[in-house]
Amino acid sequence: MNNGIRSLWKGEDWWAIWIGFAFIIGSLLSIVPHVPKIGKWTDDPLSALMIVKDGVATGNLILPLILLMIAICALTSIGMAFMKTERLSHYIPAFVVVFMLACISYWIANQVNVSYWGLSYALWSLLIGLLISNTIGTPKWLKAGAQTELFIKIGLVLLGCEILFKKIMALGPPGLMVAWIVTPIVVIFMYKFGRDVLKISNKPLIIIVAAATSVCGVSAAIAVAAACCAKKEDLTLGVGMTLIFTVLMMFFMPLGIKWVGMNPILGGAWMGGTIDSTGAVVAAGSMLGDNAEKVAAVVKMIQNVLIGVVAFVVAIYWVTKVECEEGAPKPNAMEIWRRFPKFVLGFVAASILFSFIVVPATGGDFKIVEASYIKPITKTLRGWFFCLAFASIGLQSNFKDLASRMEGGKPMILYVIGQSFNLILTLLVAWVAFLILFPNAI
Amino acid sequence: MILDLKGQFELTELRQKKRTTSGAWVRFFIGIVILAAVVSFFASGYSPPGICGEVLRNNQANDIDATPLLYMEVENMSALEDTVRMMMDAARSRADSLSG
Repeated sequence: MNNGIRSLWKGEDWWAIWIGFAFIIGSLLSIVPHVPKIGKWTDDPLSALMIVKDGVATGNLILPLILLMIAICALTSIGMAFMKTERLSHYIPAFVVVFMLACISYWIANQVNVSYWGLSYALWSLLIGLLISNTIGTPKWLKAGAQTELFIKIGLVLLGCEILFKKIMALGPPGLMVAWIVTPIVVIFMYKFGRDVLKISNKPLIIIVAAATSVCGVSAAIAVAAACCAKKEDLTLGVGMTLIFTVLMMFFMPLGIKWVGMNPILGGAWMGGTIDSTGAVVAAGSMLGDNAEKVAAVVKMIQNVLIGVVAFVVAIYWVTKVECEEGAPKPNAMEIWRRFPKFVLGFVAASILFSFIVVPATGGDFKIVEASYIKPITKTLRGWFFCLAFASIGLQSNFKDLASRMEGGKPMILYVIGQSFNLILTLLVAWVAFLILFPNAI
Repeated sequence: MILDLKGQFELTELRQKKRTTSGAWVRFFIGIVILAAVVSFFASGYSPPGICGEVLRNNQANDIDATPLLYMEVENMSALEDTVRMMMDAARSRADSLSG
């Protein structure tokens, strides 16, 4: 029991909740008015560091970025001091470098032409980290700043604010059918297929690939990896695969749909349910016309809400089934609680807070909440924490470990077969939902 | 004699370590050059010819950022949601008028 109480200030999961909620409460009380983000740029790299209002540069982002770095560093340092995981004299200088790597990743991803390809900050931060760790090797002093798990968990608690449950009815019953019926079936199919047919020994990797394929790519992979305490290398592999296939699907799926002359609404719903990241869904949907783009984006949005449910179910399943040895007695409630990744509670609490308290408090107007709290603060902060996490993962991964986890390409086979199943099932359900059961829904 | 051998061994080890370190830095700089080349390629605005580049050209023409991971990162998501709501309302009133 004492250990349980001590974990409130000694455990990383709890500190993720405290730090995440410090930012959330700060945003709700307007203590944190705005979080800076690197801007878009085309030809002039320095324009990414300009604050632009109504097309006019009103200042630069250097001071706000330094303040952001100090704020994140200060809050995480308090946690580190209590947890005693790293000396602050080691953590602080290393964190500054990791933050700079995150800034460079954002800066590359925000080049306008790069963004058209769908190559996000997650890819660039991973690549930069991997480049350092696999050539000169990550110096020991820098490893102190690469606090992957803490950054991921804080990012996930903040992500909870974006998971607004009332959004699931944005497209009525057909949207719900496509996004919420197919997804759990594909997750279960892929998990069983990977475990029982392909005999992949690394179960966390299977569930990461399954969640990334069926829910929403990188974000789902991060959430599920943290929920099942996966290794960094598993997340790197899962994210790497989803990033590559997302670009391929964005490029070729709309062309195939146009070629066969499919109904654009059906095509949009199909792409919304299958292409992993929302940006790629919007880009692919736009190829089929205005209506298809909107339907695709909204189906994906409804699917995004599933992240919370999937992460919660995976966390429960892992502590009750996967982590138990064969033949061992079922763990009791206390044991389940002890093993349960507590930050998931912060994630769910943030989602409930915003879905059932903050949005209703503004008269049910999502736009006010999104414009005042989520977009300028929690969403941007969450992006920074994920970017820091990916840079940290890259710094701590090496190609030899990654290659050893590929088990002869089995995870890739899992992705391809799972995605093929996802494509067939989503098309079938979208066809039944939009053209047979609810033909007049849209 | 033994001391001399030990000294020579340490010297060789030191030289080898230096060579490995310099090799690592060479690999690092080659990696930086490759990364810079990759970024420059994607930032150049090039799009593959034919149907392979169709989506990219559409993104360029309509300024569509394809990087958002989640719906909240899409700049015009609220507008997209509003339009879907209007489409659903229009479909409902169409169905009502037909049945009425």
